[in-house]
Amino acid sequence: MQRRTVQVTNRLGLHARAAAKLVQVANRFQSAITLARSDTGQTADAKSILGVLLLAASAGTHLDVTTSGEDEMEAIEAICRLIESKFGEEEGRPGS
Amino acid sequence: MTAPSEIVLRGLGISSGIGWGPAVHSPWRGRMIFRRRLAPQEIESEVARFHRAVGIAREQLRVLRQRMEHALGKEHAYILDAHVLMLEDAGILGEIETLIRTSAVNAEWAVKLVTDRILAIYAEIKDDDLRERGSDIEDVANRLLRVLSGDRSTCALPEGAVLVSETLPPSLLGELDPQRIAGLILGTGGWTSHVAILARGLGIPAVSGLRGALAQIEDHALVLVDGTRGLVLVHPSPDTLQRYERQRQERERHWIRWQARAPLPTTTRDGVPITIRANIERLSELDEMRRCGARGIGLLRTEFLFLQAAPELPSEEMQLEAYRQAAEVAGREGVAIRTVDWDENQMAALGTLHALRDQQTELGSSEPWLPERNPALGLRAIRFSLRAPEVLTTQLRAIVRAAAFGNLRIVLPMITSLEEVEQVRRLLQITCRELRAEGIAVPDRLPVGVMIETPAAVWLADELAAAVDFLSLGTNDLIQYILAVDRDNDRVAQLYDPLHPAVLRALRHVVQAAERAGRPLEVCGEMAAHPLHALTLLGLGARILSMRPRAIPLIKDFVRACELTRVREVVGKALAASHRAEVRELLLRSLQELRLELPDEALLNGSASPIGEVS
Repeated sequence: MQRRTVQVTNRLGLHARAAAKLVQVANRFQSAITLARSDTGQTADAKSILGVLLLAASAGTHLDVTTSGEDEMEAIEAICRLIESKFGEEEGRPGS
Repeated sequence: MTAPSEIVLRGLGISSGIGWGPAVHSPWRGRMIFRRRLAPQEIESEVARFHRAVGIAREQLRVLRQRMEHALGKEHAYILDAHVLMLEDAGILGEIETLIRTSAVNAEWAVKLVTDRILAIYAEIKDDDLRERGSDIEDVANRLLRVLSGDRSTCALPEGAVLVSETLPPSLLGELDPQRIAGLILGTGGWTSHVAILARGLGIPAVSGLRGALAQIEDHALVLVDGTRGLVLVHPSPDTLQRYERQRQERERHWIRWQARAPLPTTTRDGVPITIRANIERLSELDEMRRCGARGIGLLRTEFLFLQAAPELPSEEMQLEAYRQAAEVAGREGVAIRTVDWDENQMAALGTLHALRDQQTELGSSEPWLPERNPALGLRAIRFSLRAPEVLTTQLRAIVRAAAFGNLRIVLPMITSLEEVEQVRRLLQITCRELRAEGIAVPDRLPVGVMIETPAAVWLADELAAAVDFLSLGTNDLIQYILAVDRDNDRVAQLYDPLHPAVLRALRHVVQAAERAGRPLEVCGEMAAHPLHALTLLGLGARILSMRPRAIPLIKDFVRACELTRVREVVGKALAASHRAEVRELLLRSLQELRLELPDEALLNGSASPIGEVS
């Protein structure tokens, strides 16, 4: 089992489009992947769009990512990278 | 058996044209879900029926997604991505399946119970954007229920149908296929609503504002939608249909002729050259613009970029690419790029407001946002841009950089004071300086113009003209503000009259101010696209008209048939008239004298009071 904590840093948090991306990535792996809010402990299956959306994780939320299965290393790597890269959303922020 | 008699319903035409077919009420309307207890031996087959339905719904969404991507662009289609994922969500599907098994209920009932529960959770979410996703869940549930009811068509609508609906949910927008839908009848929604823009872009005739009258249209009744006049005819008589069919043929004949002549130059009969440009709302219109012989782009609306990027703001690179494309297609005649023009309510609907919250602007305060009560008079257009200077700066940077690829100019919307122009000019200077410092080429000259679309700008037209390089008449907003009529409000829309004496006098004042200052004046409102109104504009002295590409061939042909000296005389008389009816009569009479071969409907405008009534 792999476990890591990441912070949601994109401005909109786990908004619909980000959530859709996350679920699409999670579904590429065999491993079971769960997300848990560090503050409330609320958990969600990363392969369920509904679960991910209902986490309502806004910017700044810390998430504990857990993966377990044959490809757990690759899975945790991919999920954390996606969240840390702000879901590839934020290139070219206005005014920057 | 007697045939049902014809019923005429009056509404607001939001997309011109004529179409008829069987009425189909929105497939999502008032579905009743019943609970049925299953016998134990029925359960397995019910679960299988449910999974088959999920598979079919998923496939439908894939097809719709492609169509939507094609019609609206990739960025809009993501709404349907979320829908597909919901139909792949093991959690939701599992819960429904379990419910069918443990409670021995039919699939419909299980779908309803589970979605109701999810919707209740959504209603509790504090975040506006997330909460709104609840409507997506409803949409998906409705689709599933429809498939379960035995309807297998990808499109919720039979071919050639007229869609009747109070409003249109997002997933139905993807079904607006002009090949399949003959017309659109809506309960509410104005000229600038998303559906209206889409319907006009796709050429689907549409009438809105029928409200309570929708109930008079029974399912499958034959209806005729006349978007040009803003009429809906239920059970049209054979005579009516024949008349409309003749009109359709006539229109087609005209259209072929107009299109063939579109590339020719546009000069009035007495030899005055008139410049016809295109208003562009989406990049996909650039092709059509090329075909219809437009001389450059008189108005590039930039809201589509914000729509595509939502809920983020469009990046400098994304904007640069769009402006570059437009510049290259427009060629020597150039492009007038209008800085973003929308209000806070529209931005909130897209979630874009959130993107501003982190940016330490005044807009981005942590206080809860309340919808503007009167957005037309609120924080919109240039007011918004100046309040969120990072957004404006990004847009200016992209325009300045794109100017390396063609002839660009900037036009500022909803100006009410010289201070606003000066503020933008300063920002533009700083932007150019910064770009130079970054080693990026900056053009020597980048003309800046203002939209004259508020009464304040009309009365400051002389000073504004002196302060900028060109004026652009935005007649849609100008008329709305002068007459104090909200064109989106279908209960007062008939008061919106481009030929109102007060409007004509304001227009004349602006045209003369531009002449006095020696500045070009472009007219880029809806007026330019309407033969009678275009004629009036020419008579007032306008020489550059910009309009949606579809209208260009007709207007070009019309202008070539006009004798400008004569038109000037008539419009001069109209300017002295004090009543709306007087103006209209004068202009119509002169039109008759021109003996132009125009289809009747070219003179009508669904959003204005009808000039001629249907018999």
